[in-house]
Amino acid sequence: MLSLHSSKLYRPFLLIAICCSLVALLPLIIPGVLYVPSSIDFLTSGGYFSKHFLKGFFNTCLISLSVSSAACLFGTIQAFILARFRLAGKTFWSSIYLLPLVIPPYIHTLAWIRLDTILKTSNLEILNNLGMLLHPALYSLAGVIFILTIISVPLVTLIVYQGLVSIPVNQDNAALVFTSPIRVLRKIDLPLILPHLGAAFLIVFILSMNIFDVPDILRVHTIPAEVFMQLSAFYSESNAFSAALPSTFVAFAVTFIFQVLSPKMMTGRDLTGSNMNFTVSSTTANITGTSFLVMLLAVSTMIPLLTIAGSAALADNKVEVILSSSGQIGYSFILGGGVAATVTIVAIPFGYLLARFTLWKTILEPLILLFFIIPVALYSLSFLRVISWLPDNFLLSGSLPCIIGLTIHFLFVGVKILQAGFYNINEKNEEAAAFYPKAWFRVFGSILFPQLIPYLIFCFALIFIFVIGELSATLLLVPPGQETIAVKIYNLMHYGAYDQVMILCLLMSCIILILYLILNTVSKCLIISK
Amino acid sequence: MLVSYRLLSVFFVLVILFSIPISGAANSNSVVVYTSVDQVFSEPILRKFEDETGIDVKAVYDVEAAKTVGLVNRLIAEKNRPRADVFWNSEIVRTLVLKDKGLLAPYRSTMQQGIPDQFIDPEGYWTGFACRARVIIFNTDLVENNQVPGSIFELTDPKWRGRVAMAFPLLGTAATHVGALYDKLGKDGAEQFILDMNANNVLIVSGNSVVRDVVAAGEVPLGLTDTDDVLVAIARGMPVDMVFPDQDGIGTFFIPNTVSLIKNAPNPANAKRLIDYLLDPDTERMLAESESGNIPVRPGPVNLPAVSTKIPSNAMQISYPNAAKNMEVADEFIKTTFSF
Repeated sequence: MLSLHSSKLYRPFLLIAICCSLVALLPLIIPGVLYVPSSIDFLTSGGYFSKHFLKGFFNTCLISLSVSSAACLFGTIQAFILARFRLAGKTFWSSIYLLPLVIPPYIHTLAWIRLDTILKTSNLEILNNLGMLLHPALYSLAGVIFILTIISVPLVTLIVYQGLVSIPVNQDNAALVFTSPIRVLRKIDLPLILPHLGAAFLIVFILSMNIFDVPDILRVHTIPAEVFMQLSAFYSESNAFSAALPSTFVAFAVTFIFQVLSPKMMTGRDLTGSNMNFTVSSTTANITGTSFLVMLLAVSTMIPLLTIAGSAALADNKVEVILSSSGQIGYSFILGGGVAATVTIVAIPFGYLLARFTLWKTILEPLILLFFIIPVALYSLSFLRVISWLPDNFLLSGSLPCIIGLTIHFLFVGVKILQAGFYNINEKNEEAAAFYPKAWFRVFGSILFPQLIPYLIFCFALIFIFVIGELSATLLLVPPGQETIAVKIYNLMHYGAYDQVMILCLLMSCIILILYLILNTVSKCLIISK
Repeated sequence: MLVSYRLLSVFFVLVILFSIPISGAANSNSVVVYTSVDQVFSEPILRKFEDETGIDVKAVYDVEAAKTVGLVNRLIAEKNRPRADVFWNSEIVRTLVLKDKGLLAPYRSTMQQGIPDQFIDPEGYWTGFACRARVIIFNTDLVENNQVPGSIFELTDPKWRGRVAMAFPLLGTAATHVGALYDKLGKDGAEQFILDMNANNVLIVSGNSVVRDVVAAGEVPLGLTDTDDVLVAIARGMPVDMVFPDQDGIGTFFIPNTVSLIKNAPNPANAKRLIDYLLDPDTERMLAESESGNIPVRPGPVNLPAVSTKIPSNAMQISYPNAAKNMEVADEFIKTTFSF
């Protein structure tokens, strides 16, 4: 950690972070004060102890815990294989493991539902039986956990991979003479990548806790659904706030535990820079590793994509469906790009302060976590009220409120990604730059920015994908006359036009995939030029 | 490296600057409508209005299947500075909520002629048209036509135990239906029906379209849902059909679309033109002939898709405002009964 005044970046970044935090906090101050007493009423009236609420709370916690644990397990193994094994097609695997993230969660879910329908209606008895097994498993807690896990694994892999390549492989090489790769991972690498693993666990835990669409489609009751019910059945923002409180506390408790543990996790970290020498080169280990990657790719990407593609291929009026949705696709990309770029820029000062200064990590991390964990619909409604107090003007009539609202919500994810990026940059460079009379943005631009590029691009891509699939805040904040593709897909689902849904899902997946490949290529070019 | 730094920075800034001005701002010849009617049904009508009048329609659609907090909450949050001119609701209770909260302005359309008084607010805050009905949906592979219950009360028969689906009775038209039963049967009668349904282990799902899907998938043979959900399923070849219940009893419950003018709407003149257009008999006919098969409130012949011979003659006679008031009482009872 840096001393408070050893960096030129400290003051400007702190100023930006404080200004952004105040803007984001504004909508929460008045409703926050108003809702706290009502949550006491909710408690005393037994709201927290109703069977329905407890079931939702239990499901939410179980989903979050199971998904984050399973994703960390599979993601860490995948990262270890990618970072340490001498695989055939190493470049291919390194590029492709992020693919499940390219498909938005609701499209993953719809693909598995479609597969279930295909199996059940198949003429082959074996497929029928498979469908009979899949159906109850899919529409259950296990189904939700399965889908959220396969989506989350690449996120964990990415973060853990960054940790693995930043530690030296000498110890691994020595240990491999005597023991197996898995034991090396467990005994040598794992203790050193605990901060990365912790950050990955936290992000996945909170993302799973907040997700609405996957459990909703699979008919599993969770706290986000309870919040919705309070808003849409009773128009009670205070009850919705009260319903969201326990899971918010859980999220804070988990974050607090990680904050307490993080100094211990940091002990023994040795950031000597990227080290890509492979350690595991035995044929058996490589075959096992490749098989694992193939299995993960099949379950998380190939099966959903092929199901969508197959269904879309059989559908009628493909061109008509695509053309009639061009406006929504265009707007989704504009909104997604705007929010992703804003989050990426705003997350830089936050990520820097969190990575470099313990004091600001303690203050700012809970704050941005609050923006992420508070139900996005609740925040958006409060945000709308703040906007309605302001005088009418051109900017507020457009997409700006939607961009700001979604930026505030997704800031936590962006900050965590960039925080991991700053962790991997040697802070001695900044200390050295402090002696030179250059402006702070020159120091940032010439020292930190080049090393941060892969993280910036990944942050942009990930937030873009999240925004493309977001629904609650988008519907509340989107300007009249505009519509995103997620809204259209949900409308078609309700209408029962599943063929059209599959066409649009395939189109969306392909477009995001192309974007991902472009960004991946750009990122690699920039790293090579560095 | 400095070049890539600048390029990337320029990219981010350009993306933001490009996205911000995408605007839904109303110009002088536009109207902003918030609608909870399925986009596939409402959009063609709004486009036709645009073509005929030259008024630019900016719509915000709700998404029932996604269980979003919905447009009503958005309208409430925007109360100080409304952006909407017209609220076109696919049902009535949420409109009554908005009226109670003082968000609507009275407007008596010139196109109200022929609409029965039951569907017109005496104070002029809303007008009803183009109804959906609450029906019993059944899986034709699992239940013979002559075995299908003719009344919602038969769904409490032990032979259907665990074999009937319905949407959360706290939400949407399922909640309105319960409110109407309170009005029709009285508190004791309605609550007995709810208790009997719960005792018969009714499958509660998150929405009417889910009721349709679980019945079509054969998870349960029967369900209680809306006509439009069944009609789209029939049109897509799903093995389902429907019965208008209680033709020999209390009558089938009908839920009208409602249209209202928003108080302090930015474009009141255009809003009134759109309301007039929606209440036009031709619009009702378009909705009736669409896949949603809305049943016109005006008397007279109409061709509904797929169910032309099944339009019921016995409609449940209730007061919609009373049904809405009853829902507040019903909510607590339902929460207790179903442990919500």
